[in-house]
Amino acid sequence: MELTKNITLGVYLPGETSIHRLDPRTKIIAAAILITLLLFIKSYQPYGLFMLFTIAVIIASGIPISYALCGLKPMLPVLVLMWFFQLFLYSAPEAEVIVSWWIFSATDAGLHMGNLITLRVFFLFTIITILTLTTSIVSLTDGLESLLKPLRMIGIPSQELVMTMIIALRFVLILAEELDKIIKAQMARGVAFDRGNFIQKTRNLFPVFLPLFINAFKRAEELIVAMEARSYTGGKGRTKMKTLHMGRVDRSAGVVIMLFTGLIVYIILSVNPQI
Amino acid sequence: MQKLTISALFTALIAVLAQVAVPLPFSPVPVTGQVVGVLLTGALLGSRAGFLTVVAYLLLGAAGAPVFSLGRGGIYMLTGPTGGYLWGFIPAVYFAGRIIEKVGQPSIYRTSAAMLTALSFIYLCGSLQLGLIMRYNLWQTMLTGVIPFVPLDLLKAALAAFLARQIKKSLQQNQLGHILK
Repeated sequence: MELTKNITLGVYLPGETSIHRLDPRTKIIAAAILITLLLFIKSYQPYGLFMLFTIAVIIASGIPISYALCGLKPMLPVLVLMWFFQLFLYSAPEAEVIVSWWIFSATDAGLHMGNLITLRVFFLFTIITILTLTTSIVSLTDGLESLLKPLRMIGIPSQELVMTMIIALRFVLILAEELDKIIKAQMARGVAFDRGNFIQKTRNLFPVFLPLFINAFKRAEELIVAMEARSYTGGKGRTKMKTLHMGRVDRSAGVVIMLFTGLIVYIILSVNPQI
Repeated sequence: MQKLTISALFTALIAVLAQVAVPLPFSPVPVTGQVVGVLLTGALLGSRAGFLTVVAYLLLGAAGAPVFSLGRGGIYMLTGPTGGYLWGFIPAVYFAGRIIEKVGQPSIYRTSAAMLTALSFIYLCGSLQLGLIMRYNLWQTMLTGVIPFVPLDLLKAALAAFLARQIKKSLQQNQLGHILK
């Protein structure tokens, strides 16, 4: 099963570094700021600085760099594809043609655009990877919940949303297992999933989907009964065993992020003064 | 409370269905069950719970869980060129739910109207973001982001409509019909 192999969710590397000890809210906000910054970078110099900063954070968090980049492997084909797309499809009015073949032609503007977009996606990915590698899923959801609280004023139930996410995470694993079991059971009964044309293949999925859904509903009902038996009534009045609080590390992290943002903005403005 | 659990269940179902991929002989894009899952959510859960489900799904994905197709995840999936198709799930489910939940036993026409509304919202948001990020003009956007997928998505919509009926039926047979109320 593809899903169970690919789940890198639990891949949280526990540690005692200051990056690990940061409040999850600080980390989420910092990641959001960095990602927003990325969207405005249009030249190579700020990316150089970004690279140094990312490497510094990775070293500070004690994650082996090769491990942090390992997760990039599944993204690689997409990155390459995006680069080629930009290279051949981006057109600017006075671009110099480097290579042309058939109806496609690669321009220097396209090359520049391709490089920038690939770098952008690469850094987006690295930032998120660092975030998930240094934050356990529980504190990540706690932080999200706390950050989503203002949404309650416009009627979006933030606590319920986060609870839904946590339960859904468990369900994903259960359902993936269930799906695997059903596929094997149906194969034992003679359903050939790998044979036939496209329509037959699609029809073969029916004896998988229906039992999957019915079993899933049964699971959900069990969970509902279990939660009601434990008097869970939703978000109102619920207290936490561990409360989040920001400390000295968070303040210094805030200062670092501010300085970095200022520096990047300064470089962007000095490289492209027309923006 | 019950809605919350069912929403979580459907979030997980969309995630699992997104991984079920039938490779196509003529295209590099596989048929994934993601859209089927989203349409089913709208058809079975209605607008409110469906909304919660899809938002939770997108947030999970944005937080880095590999719940999107082919085990991908991360915020760049939402901000990237194809992210619009994911954002589109929110209005899609909401309006499909609104159309279907008005009557107890939706007819075939009503169901297909809901499915088509949902699909058009997905395409609208998807092509908008694709066009804006990749700086395509209208025709390029249609060619890369809409036209190749229409026939397959219609097939998926039909599959979802059929599954929704079957699931309702067999839930009632198993005395679980109350769970969707």
